[in-house]
Amino acid sequence: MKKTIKFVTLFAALSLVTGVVAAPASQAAKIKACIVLDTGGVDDHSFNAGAWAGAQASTALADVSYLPSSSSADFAPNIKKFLDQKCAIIIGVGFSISGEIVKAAKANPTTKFAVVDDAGLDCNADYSVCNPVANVKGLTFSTDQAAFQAGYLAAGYSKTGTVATYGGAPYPTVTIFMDGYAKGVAYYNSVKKKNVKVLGWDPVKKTGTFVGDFSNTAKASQLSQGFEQQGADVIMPVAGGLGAATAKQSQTSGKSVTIWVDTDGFYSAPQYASVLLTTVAKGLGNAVKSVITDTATRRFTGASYVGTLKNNGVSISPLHNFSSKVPAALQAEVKRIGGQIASGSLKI
Amino acid sequence: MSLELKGITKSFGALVANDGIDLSVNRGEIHAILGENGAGKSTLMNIVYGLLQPDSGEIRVDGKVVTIHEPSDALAVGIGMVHQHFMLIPVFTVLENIVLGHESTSKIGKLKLSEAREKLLALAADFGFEIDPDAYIENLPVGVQQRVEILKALIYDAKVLILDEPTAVLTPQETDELIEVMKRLRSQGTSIIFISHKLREVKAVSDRITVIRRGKVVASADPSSSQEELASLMVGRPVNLMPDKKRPNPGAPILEVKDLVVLDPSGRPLVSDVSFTVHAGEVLAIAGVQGNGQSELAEAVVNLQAHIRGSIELGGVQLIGKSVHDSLHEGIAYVPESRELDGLIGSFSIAENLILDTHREAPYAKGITLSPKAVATRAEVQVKEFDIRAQSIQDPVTSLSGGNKQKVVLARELSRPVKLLVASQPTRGLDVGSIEFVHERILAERDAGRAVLLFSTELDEVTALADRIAVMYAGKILAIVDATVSREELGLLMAGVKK
Amino acid sequence: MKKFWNRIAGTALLPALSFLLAFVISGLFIALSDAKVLKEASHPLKFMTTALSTVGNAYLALFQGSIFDPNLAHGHTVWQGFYPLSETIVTATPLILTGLAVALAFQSGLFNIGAQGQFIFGAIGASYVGFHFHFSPVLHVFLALGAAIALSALYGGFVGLLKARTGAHEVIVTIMLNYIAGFFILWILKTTTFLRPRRIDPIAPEVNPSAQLPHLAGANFRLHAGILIALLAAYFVWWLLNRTTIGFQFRAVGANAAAAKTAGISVSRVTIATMALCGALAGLGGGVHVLGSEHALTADIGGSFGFDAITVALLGRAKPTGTVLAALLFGALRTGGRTMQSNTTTPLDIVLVIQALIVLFIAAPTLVRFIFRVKNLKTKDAMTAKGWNG
Repeated sequence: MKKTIKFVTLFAALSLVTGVVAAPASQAAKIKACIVLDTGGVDDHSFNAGAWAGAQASTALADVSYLPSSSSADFAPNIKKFLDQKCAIIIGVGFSISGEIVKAAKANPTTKFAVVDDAGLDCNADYSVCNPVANVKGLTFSTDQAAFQAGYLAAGYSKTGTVATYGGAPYPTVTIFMDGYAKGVAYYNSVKKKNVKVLGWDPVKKTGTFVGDFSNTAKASQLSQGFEQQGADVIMPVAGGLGAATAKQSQTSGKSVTIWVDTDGFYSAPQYASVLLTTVAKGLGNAVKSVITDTATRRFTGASYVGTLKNNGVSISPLHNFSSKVPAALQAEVKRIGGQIASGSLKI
Repeated sequence: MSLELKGITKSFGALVANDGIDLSVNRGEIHAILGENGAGKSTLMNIVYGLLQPDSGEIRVDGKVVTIHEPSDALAVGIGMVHQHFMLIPVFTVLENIVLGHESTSKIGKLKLSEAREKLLALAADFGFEIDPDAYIENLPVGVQQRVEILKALIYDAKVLILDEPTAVLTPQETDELIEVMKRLRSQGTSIIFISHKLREVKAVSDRITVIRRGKVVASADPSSSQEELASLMVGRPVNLMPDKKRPNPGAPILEVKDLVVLDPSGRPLVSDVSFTVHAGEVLAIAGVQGNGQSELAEAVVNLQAHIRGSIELGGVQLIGKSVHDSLHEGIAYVPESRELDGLIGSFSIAENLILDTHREAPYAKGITLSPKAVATRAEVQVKEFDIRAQSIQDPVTSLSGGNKQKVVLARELSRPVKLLVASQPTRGLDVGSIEFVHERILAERDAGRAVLLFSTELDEVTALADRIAVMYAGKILAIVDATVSREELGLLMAGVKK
Repeated sequence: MKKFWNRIAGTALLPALSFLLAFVISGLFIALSDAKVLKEASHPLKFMTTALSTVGNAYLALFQGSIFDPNLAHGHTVWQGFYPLSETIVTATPLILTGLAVALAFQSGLFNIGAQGQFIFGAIGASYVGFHFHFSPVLHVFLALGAAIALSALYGGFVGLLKARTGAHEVIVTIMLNYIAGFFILWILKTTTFLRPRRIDPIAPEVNPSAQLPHLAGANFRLHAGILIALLAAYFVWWLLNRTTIGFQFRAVGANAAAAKTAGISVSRVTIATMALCGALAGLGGGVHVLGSEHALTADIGGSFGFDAITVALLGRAKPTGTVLAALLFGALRTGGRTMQSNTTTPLDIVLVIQALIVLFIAAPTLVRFIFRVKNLKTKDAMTAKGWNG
């Protein structure tokens, strides 16, 4: 007993001493960029992962670190922790953190802030009046533009005349995909005088099919199977990691193909490459990287950033395995529509 | 074969369970070992049978020192043991249980039972046992199960047989039969070590008696000694086995039970159509072999059984439908069959156990707060009155001996205004001294004009205390007889035979 | 006095040694999962010093993040350096209350896995009264907390009622009710009554300032009056268990239900009362969490307060004082872990490893006894879960 205790005491003492001595030396010139993640963890294969990837791409200019949040109760203390650490810029991921970011930004006007997926506005109690905050940059994405292209592509690709989509939860960042997708199909119908049906989203009533969360794989598989049974042969899941459940269903049944979202699935989920028609990509990492770069080079402004087809903030990925299976004419049309949206000649 | 123990010593921590015990058993002798609970009898036998290792001392068989590390070593030198709780597998047949652990198989692994069957039948014939090798254990009466245990030891050539409290589970008739079997074994040269605290049986069968007290051999006694003498040796002071019983003076009926039926949750009757009356100033004992519905009947009286029908009136008040609390407070003192399970809360202190029933009443409670002072004062008084031996009233009751535990239960139950005392197996597992105390207290309650309903499987206890005896068999009361009835007749009734 | 210290040593030695072991083993994890350390694998001496400094840094950060950080005091008052401690208390506050909800149940021989659901219902009640009504400050707080207690007491009492009337096992029932509460809050936050205007994501309006718990150490600190409520609740539970007839019955049923029943105590009544009280405690936790630090109901308001409560109660040996200390420890680990993650490369998840190891060692006293060669380690447990036998 005595011996053990001695050893432990020694160990503890040593670690304390060396700990103090070996405190990290500060590196000159680099700024500190800090990311507060939304719930789901850094490995969520979705916006947390995307934002963190963007930050890691900025290490030439910044020391980057992140804090995970296990629930929304962690947002405020996480932001406070980074304030204590004198981060030059604090980036919150997800619209739910927006309120806390804005609150902190108003209290700390010299620190720069950014919010991914929200405009980062300062709103009054009933959200009737919202004003921009000078040191908060909102990073939002018009994913409906790229989803519009995807919808058009899906409608043209479908053999059965039925395509589908579903979401994780009815959040605006999710439904915007579904909305664009459904409108793309409708556009295809009006141009081609066809009647391709969309399951899972009604762009008029703004209602649709949702899993309820972003983790229930069983339910996601069930929904995908249901869509297949109703004849859908293209499915676009907008549910983060749950997309894998749909891609797997496509693979096993052979009855459908999947449209991936956020980051090009050909690379991020290569095991499903054989059934991924395309990806509605959201340039989240690039947006994060550029706001860090702007901060480091003292060009930060509070003007909100909106990712569009025009500024390449959103895009539709190459067809990869499907480039030979999709008629060249359809490919050309999808590309042309993209150009028209970017130039503003086609309004969604 | 002769067995000799020399200076066997075994300690458990500070407790010396066996302290230099010397003992010898001759060929063809029944040697009784007498001692109270905790005297060290079982420890000694477990050492002989290889279940425990002694700290010092030696075991000699026919003069040669043997080492016994485990029961198979004991069997190898010819020592067999029949435990108080049978080591049989209920869903196996007699034969399967006999060969268990000694299975011989054919080359492909099939059990070879024919050899064992022949051996078993021959052995049973030798001793005049009637036994069906293919009967399932669970279908056999307890007495027959015990014979299977004995056969199991004998078939592997046991020359010394240890019987640990063999009569505890038997009816008086079965006990008589066992005694016959033991005598027959003796006549064929088998030695028997007979462990018991029942003086009558010890006297009836043994050739020699060794008395153990607190881990030491205190005396060798002759079977012709009186029960009082033997008991005094066990306890170490003079004891009075037959409590002085004054003439009964029965008064008005206190407890009237009519057509009582107790069902188990699946609707099978545990007690059927039982009717009896207990008067003030009388002890009605419910006798019977364990498991014939006595426990359920006792619980039914204080509404601890859920599915009951019929009528239970205490002093004219119908109890059925009342809560346990209300039943008790109508004037019942209830001493449950199991002190540890139902009578006491082991981790609670003596003081707390004494107010389990009355903690909501003044002076122990003021509103919803407890008054530790009042609780302690009461505990101090009762510890004195009931001679509860404890270091402190704040000690947990688990630290007490069985007798003192029972005194805590009695102290609690008898401190309410009581019309009826229901005592279920009140002396089970107690030492002689505590039995005396409990018996005297029960008679004192009777003499003070209370009705006493006593449940006991010990015939001696029943005859010593009862004014009238009701015998239960298979959930029914077979007969209610006067306490002067003969033991033989009682025994027959307990076995379900009604004249 | 000596007896007193023996008692302390008897009850605190096992947790203390478990704690120590957990930190030593977690230290190994920290060192061996660190890229810097592994790079030095070929130089034993350098490997050792790097490993020690990595672990030392991590634990130093853990301390600075949970108790006192001199960097924060620098240029300010010393007081400011205790900001981490205030955060520890804020995090621990709801845990104390949910921990008590589990501990009290243990004392009555019940296994309350439902603190999570009860917490959520308390949060819903407090939130609704908090944002929907306008009262004077003190009154508003009381009414909001009252709503939290009432709602969750019903939710917990329902479990007791089911168990008493039908014999349904509380473990199964509370697990199911946790699911119901989790989905109920998702649904309720979609209704117009609860959804914040102009928001689509599940969040309720902020509670009115009159219903918010007052700050205890100025606006710079999040420390709020909830801790006083939690400590009061802990005292209440102690008083209830040790000084009242109701608590006497709770403990009696918990220690030996058969004997309690035989002595005339109504086991079913005790079961219902215990579960209702446990519900009330957990719900109070939910209410305090909303009114004290969050101020708005969100779908994930429950966090893992109800589940961590089980560990906290076990660690605290189902005693009120122990539960408070265990909750503070968990709060410290959680808040400290944040600093550890952001200051060093050690991930926040190591905190979960430490927590798990502490519980593991507490649950396996023989192991601790073996490692430290301690003989008289007191392992007698008041509440070794009787859960499954009913």
